[in-house]
Amino acid sequence: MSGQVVLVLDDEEPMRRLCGRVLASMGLEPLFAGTLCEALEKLTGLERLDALVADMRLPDGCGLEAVRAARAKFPLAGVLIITAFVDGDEEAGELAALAGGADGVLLKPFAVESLEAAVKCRLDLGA
Amino acid sequence: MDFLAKILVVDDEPGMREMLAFELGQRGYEVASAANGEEAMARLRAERFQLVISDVKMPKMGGIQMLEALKKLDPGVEVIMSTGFGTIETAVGAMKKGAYDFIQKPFNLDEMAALVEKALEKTELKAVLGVYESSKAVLSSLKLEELLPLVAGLAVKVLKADDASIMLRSGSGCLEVAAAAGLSRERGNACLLPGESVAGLVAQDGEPVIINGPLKDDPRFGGLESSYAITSAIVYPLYADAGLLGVLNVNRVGRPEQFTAADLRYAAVFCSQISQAIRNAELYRRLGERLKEIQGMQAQLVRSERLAAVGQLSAGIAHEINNPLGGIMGFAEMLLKSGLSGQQREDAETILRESRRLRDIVQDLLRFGRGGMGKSEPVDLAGALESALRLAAFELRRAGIAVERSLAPGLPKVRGDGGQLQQVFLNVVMNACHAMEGGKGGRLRVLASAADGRVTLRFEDNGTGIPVENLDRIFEPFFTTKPSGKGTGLGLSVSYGIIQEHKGTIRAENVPGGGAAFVVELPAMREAGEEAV
Ligand SMILES: Nc1ncnc2c1ncn2[C@@H]1O[C@H](COP(=O)(O)OP(=O)(O)OP(=O)(O)O)[C@@H](O)[C@H]1O
Ligand SMILES: [Mg+2]
Repeated sequence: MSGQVVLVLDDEEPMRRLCGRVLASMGLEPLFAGTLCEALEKLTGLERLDALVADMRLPDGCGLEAVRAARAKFPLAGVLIITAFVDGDEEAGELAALAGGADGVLLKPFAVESLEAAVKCRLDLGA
Repeated sequence: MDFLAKILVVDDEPGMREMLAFELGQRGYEVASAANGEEAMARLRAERFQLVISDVKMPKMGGIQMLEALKKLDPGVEVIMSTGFGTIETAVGAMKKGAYDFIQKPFNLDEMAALVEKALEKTELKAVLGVYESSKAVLSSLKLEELLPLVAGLAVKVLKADDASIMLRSGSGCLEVAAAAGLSRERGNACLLPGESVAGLVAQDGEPVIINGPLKDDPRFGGLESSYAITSAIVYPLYADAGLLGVLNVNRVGRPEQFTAADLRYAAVFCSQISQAIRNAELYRRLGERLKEIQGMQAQLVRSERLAAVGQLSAGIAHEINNPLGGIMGFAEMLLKSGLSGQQREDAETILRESRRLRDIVQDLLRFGRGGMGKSEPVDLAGALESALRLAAFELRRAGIAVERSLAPGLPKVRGDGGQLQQVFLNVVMNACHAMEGGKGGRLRVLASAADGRVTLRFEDNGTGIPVENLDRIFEPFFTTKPSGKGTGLGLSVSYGIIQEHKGTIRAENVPGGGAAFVVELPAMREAGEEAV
């Protein structure tokens, strides 16, 4: 698993840190972005991406844009959306996220095990 | 036979009296005579005449004096003065005092007959106008219960009757006394079937009837018994657009003056007005109902708008809560994995458990606020029930109410909208909570079972119960016994609508020993094997 690159995109610091802790406990060393801009920048500079964990609602745009950019450059990367909910309807949000190119959606608040399992699943897919 | 009108001839010459009595009698009038003013007044006080033909110069009381007295007694009676030569000035003076016209003796009989006819037309017009005017004022009242007694009273006055009653057709088609005036007020309230009694016959045939003389002597009503001495009666049908409304019944009791064809015509005018007034009252009542309906619709609109606003708001709030909640739950889990001491572990577990509760409440709020219409998906009733109880948990606890659940295991799902069903349960639970508030030992029992393809939920409380007279009404929109601001009375009507859309039923009953029970029945979904997933 070493050498795998995971990018966490969320505008809330505690959420970034939580994801960071979970990923670190899995032996990964994630990168972080707090805005869509920052995420797009990071993606441009990256040579490799194995997984993207992205929030939907961001202060400067929709997380799905980062998903599209990641998909374009790294077709094999696993993509996981973490969101409180979208447009008042979990299912609609889920559909939108999947249509936007995500492999899965995790609703906040989620259990730590769910995040672990989901990320593991994306990485295995990508590997 | 009915006479055209009653005329009093006043003349001191017997020849003149006899001649006029004969000639006018031939033309269909009922004629009486008097020899002087005094005699005439005595008769006029005792019975009603439409017209008086009077000589001017008579012993005891002259024509002018009599005219003055008569106009004071009853201005509606017309007077024609017949004068000899030389008294024309007096005749003109008489007209100023209210006589209709004068005719010079000796007169041509045809001329006299034409004048009589004209005078009577005027009296009739005046009488009808009088009926019209007086009734119009009275009948402007729009409340039937106020209107009808006034009408009955007016009928007694206008038709110079001793009693009057108005019978209206009830829902079952029976005629029931709706109002009475005069003597008949003392009679018990009758209820007649069409065809029964005079009123019943009029109602059946729709034709007005005059009865003169004792009822049993009238061939049309042979066999009908009258309980008191009615000497003359008019029974007149009352019509409205929809058909017969009822009948007006006016009677003269124990006296010789009988109703005439003219009275029947007054009754016609009068009755058309009553019908109009009843129609107006009915329209007014319906207007009021419609108004209430529209107000109701408006309130419902406001409520659903408010619900929509709550929905949007709760969606926003849910987002704001779920984000930090994600952090709280996540870090609590992380803590639990980091080898805590026993006490620390317990504390972290508490944080996690309470956060999960918060998450569930937010989800309930979301689902409630969204209120999506007409979803059709498998709904787990136990889940919807628990959600409702969770939303009501605070209120239940505050009122000190114990909740007992008895849910049969493996309840089948039902097809429909989980959010809506949850709304129904919440409503019923909150109502029970309100009914038990303030009392001691409140207990809400929730029972769920399935049989014969139906799932039955029973919410039983030991609160105030529902007064029997309200049992039919609690599902009506806006029916509430709660002080304004506390209840809109929409809860159960909305619930009723939702359950109906789910092809189920909801009903209420009182529990022996106090309290109410609401029973919701919903069709169960077929077994998982049969239902495509
Ligand atoms: N469990 C119960 N025990 C006694 N009375 C009840 C019970 N449930 C309902 N009722 C009666 O039925 C009425 C109508 O209930 P409904 O839920 O439609 O309106 P509400 O509770 O008064 O107002 P809302 O629900 O709109 O806030 C109540 O006002 C109450 O009188
Ligand atoms: Mg209610």
